[in-house]
Order: sequence, then structure tokens, then C-alpha cells
Amino acid sequence: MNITAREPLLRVEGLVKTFREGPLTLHAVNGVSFEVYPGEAVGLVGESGCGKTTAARSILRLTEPTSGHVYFNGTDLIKLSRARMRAQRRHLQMVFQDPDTSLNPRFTVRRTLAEPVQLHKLARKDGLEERLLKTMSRVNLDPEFLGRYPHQLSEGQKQRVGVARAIITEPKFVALDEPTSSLDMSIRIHMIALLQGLQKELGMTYVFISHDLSAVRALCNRVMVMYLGTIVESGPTDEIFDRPLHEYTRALLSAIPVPDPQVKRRRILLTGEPPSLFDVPKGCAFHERCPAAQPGCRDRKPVLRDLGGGHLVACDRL
Amino acid sequence: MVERDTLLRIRDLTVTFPGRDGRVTILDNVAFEVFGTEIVGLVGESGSGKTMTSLTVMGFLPPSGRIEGGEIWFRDGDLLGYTEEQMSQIRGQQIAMIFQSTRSALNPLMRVGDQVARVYRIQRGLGGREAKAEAVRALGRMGIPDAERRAEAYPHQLSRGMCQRVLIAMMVACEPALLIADEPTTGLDVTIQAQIFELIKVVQQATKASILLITHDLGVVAETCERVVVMYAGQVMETARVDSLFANPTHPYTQKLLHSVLRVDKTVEMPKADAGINEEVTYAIRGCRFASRCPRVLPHCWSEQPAREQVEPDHWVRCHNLS
Repeated sequence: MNITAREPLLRVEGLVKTFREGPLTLHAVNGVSFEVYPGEAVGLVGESGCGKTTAARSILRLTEPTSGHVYFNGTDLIKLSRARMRAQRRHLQMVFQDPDTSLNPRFTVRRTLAEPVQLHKLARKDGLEERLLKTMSRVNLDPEFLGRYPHQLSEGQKQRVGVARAIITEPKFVALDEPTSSLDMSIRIHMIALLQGLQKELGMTYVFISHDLSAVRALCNRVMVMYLGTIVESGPTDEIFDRPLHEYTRALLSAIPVPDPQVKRRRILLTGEPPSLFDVPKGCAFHERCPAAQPGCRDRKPVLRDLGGGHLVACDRL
Repeated sequence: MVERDTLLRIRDLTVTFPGRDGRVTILDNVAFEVFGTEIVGLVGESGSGKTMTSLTVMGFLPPSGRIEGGEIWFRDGDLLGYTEEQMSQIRGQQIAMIFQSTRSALNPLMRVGDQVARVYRIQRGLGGREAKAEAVRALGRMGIPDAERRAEAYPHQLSRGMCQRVLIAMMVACEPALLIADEPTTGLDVTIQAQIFELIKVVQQATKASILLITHDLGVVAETCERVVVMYAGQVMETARVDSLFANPTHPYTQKLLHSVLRVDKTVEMPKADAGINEEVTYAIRGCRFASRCPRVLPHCWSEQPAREQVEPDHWVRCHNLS
């Protein structure tokens, strides 16, 4: 499939989000640009504080971005009035990281799922029931759970309710924020398989935010790696995992233990910890920890360049 | 196989807690051992009893818990027969534990250097100034840059990774023979996790301590441990050397677990949608507790507990239906 020939579903341009804390400015997202094509599952990976969740929330305007553009099907979402943005939301949904804080504890599953359908006037009474049952079966939940409250569900079931709430409006685009991080290992793979099946069935487009790179490898066809608010590398999944070029991506991948004692990998141990977002280093944000840094890296901020085959890297050394 | 000296030997440990309909057996005939100078992984999913096992070894069982039977041999004494006073001698000097939540394990009102120094004063009988100097050196050895300045910090001023290093420094100061590390990298980023495990391995080699590493990450087990204990719903299903467990998983639960593992180094095949996947851990089964999810279940699995059988050297399984 030649996706580059098609129009992107989502085009993000120069997205910036800063937060003020007294005299200080926290730079959460520092100018992020990318495109997502219809039917793609794109992984947005990086460690805590790299800005991946803020980027996704800004795209959906759950947090208002400081500057930048987000074109969805050609319309700039950032310029829409609140009312018109609300109407767009049925097409752009989000699955949140922690079902315990994103599901209303006083709502039954039925009420949680019915609300978006009613808000967007997608079905009348009998149509609603049908839609509820269909969505429950799509996420492998027995219809009897409709009458339950979140505390009566297991972690895996709660997270599937979160997915059900997102897909019940049949959105074109879903941002999944660490949907597997609260799950046990044998449940995790089933969640990934479920998400994969749903995407095929409903033709959705995903941005999958995660620090769980093995899950990203299983689900996504393209990956973007973030560090301190910028994308440092992006490309087709196998290309990034098998031939990472940016020193940060290489260290990140090498740090993940492989569940196979026969596999011996060389680990790249980074020194120190990521710098503060209040004080992002000048030049390449990674230069202080980069094992291959050169004097020039301190002064010039590298831009993402295509090194062939859609493999983009922000490193001047290459 | 040469008989190695056994440091910790747990036999038939059974612990119950009050539940809605009578007492629930949270640990059911748990048995395994830790030999001298080795890293043993204790793996299982939430509710498998791995943390409860370690708390029982430490003598930290919550008051509502009751030990119904079993033995915990450490060197040549049964810890379950010890008085509280004897246990507090063992804790710290012989067995130490590092907990999941690094911040709550440190005193928020005390400078971290003083917390480490306190261990040197109590365990080694050093004087105040000497203990402080020793503490700063220990923090430096744990890879904390600018240790002299960081020793003056309070826990909230340090990152979680740094707090974990402080805790490891305190543990090393005790020179325990056995260290229990309960998910020591929970909540840490992978690059920091890699640094911490590297540190733990270095410390283990330097102190010749044995480590019981509680984790749910089979990747960590494969890369860090020599032997592994697999728990499910309060029962030990399989114990083996790491290579032997990954090459020849024998219990149906272990097999299922290894099948459901995602990998970063290659694309794995997705399992068929398992509509009947039962996520609830069942403690009510008298026999093998995996019976409700087991593809090879036999009628008597529900009622009779399988014996511990050796399938190859140092590889033990509890299953009625070994194929």
C-alpha cells in the first residue's frame, strides 16, 4: 500500500505547548510536526515527561495548544469554535491511561457508553440498545456488564469499557494513551490483539502513545520517538526497531529486556537522567547524554530529515 | 549437580486472610529455595502472592493474615519460630528488603545522607561523623553524581531513580545475606530501569548476597536471574533454572505466560481472540488453581493438589497432567 500518495487524515504542524509555573515556563511540546494517513496505527513513544501525552491531548484540544495547527481532513481544529470542535469530537476519540480516573465511578457501564451516543444524537431508543450490545461484543464484554459499576470490574474489563466508550461513536481517529500500562502481562497481549482487530473491522486510524515498546512493535506500522518535547526519529516500525539511527532511540531500545535468555544484546547505558523541561538544553536537546555528541551539537538544533524510505532522523551527525 | 548451600528454604507455607465467606487461602503450600549467591526471580501476575510471600519471610504479614502452616528456614533456623526481637536482628543484618514505592520507603523529613548514615550507626556502630562520611561514599558508589551535595537533599528533591539508589545504598550498608527486591523499578523509565538493574547486579557480585527479585517482567527475569519461581493465585507452579524454564516451560500456566509475551526484538504473532479469558484469579479451588483456565485440565485437578515433581535437574513442576 502506497500511503504517501494519499491525503493524510491528520496533519500536525509546529505544535507547541508550554505551561506557566510562576516565573518559569515548562516546555512540554516543542514544535512537533507529523502526518497520519487513514488506516495507519502510529506509535508515539518516549519516556515519562517527553511530551507524548500532552501532544495527543493538544491535538484533540483537551488541552489548548500554545501554537501550531492540527488539520483533520483538511480543517484546522485549532481554529474551530468550541461548539464546532465539540461536533467534531465524535470523529476524534481518546482512550485514557487509567480507567480508574477516566470512568465515572457513579455511572454504570450502560450510562458511560450511552452518553456519547446521546450527546452526538447518533441513535434513538431502540437503536441505542442495539449499538450498546454491538459495541460490548466488539470489545469482548458480556452484555450483563452493562449494569455494573467500574468497581465491580477487573482492570482488563475496565480498560475495555474505556475502549468501548471511544469506539461507540465510530470515530475515524482514536488516540490511545498507554491503554496497556495498567494490565497484567497475559491480559496485555489480548488488549493489543483486540485493538488490532477493531482497527481492521472499523477502519480506524490510531495514534498509540506508549512507553511499552514491545506493544508498539506488535500494533503499529509506523513509530515516532519523542525526547524532551520533540520528535527525534520516525519511520516504519521494523525499520526503527531493527535499524535505529538516533542515539536516543538506540539506547531506549537496548534498555528493554528481551524475554529470551538465548538472546544477548549490547546494552547502551545512558548516563544521567533527562534534563528538566523548565530548562531544555540549547541545540540538540539530547547532546548532554549522547554518547556520540560533538561540539556542534550544543549550538544547532537538528531538524528531522528523511534519510530514505520514510526514515526521518533529527541528528546532524548522520 | 553439586548440592549448593541453601540460604532460604520455604516449605508448605500457607497463609489465610479473612474473606467474605470465611478465610481465603492467599498462599497455598508455597515451596521453593534460594541458594547462596544467586539471583532468583519470583514472577507472577497481580494477586499471585509474590509480594505476600516476601512480606511473610520478612515477618511483615499484615495483622489480619494468619500463618496456617509451613516453615521458612533461613540458614539453620525456622523464621516462623523466632520472636519479634530475634526477627528484628535478622531484618537488616541478614535479610533486607527494597520496596516498590521508593518515596514512601524513605523518611520525607530527613536528609537522604542522614538516612544512610543512620544505617551505618545502627548496624556497624560507627560514630556520627564517620557514619556520614561512609554514607556519602556509599551514595557515590551507587552512581549518584555529586554525592556530597545530594546527601543533603530531602527525598522529594531527588528523582525516583535517585531515591532507589539511596535505598540500595542503605541496603548495602547492612551487608545482608539475602536481599528481597519487590519490583524495584516500578514507575521508573526503561533507561533508568536498565541503570538500576546494572547497579543491582554489580552490588550482588560485590557483596555475594543472594537476591530474591519480585517482578512481573519476563524480560527482566531472562536478563537478570539465574533461577525462577513461577506463582499463580498463591501457588508455586514451576521452579527452574532460567534457561531451562524458557527452553522447556512445563506447567500449562508457564506455557501460556511465555506465549503471551511481547518482544521488542521481533514481531510476535498475535493470539486468537480468547473470548473466554477469565481474568479473575480463583482462590477457592482446593486443587490446582489454574484449573479454571487450563487447557489440559483433568477432573481431579479441581480437588487434589499435584505433588512437586522434578522433570529435569533443578526443574520442578506441580501439575497432574505433565505431557
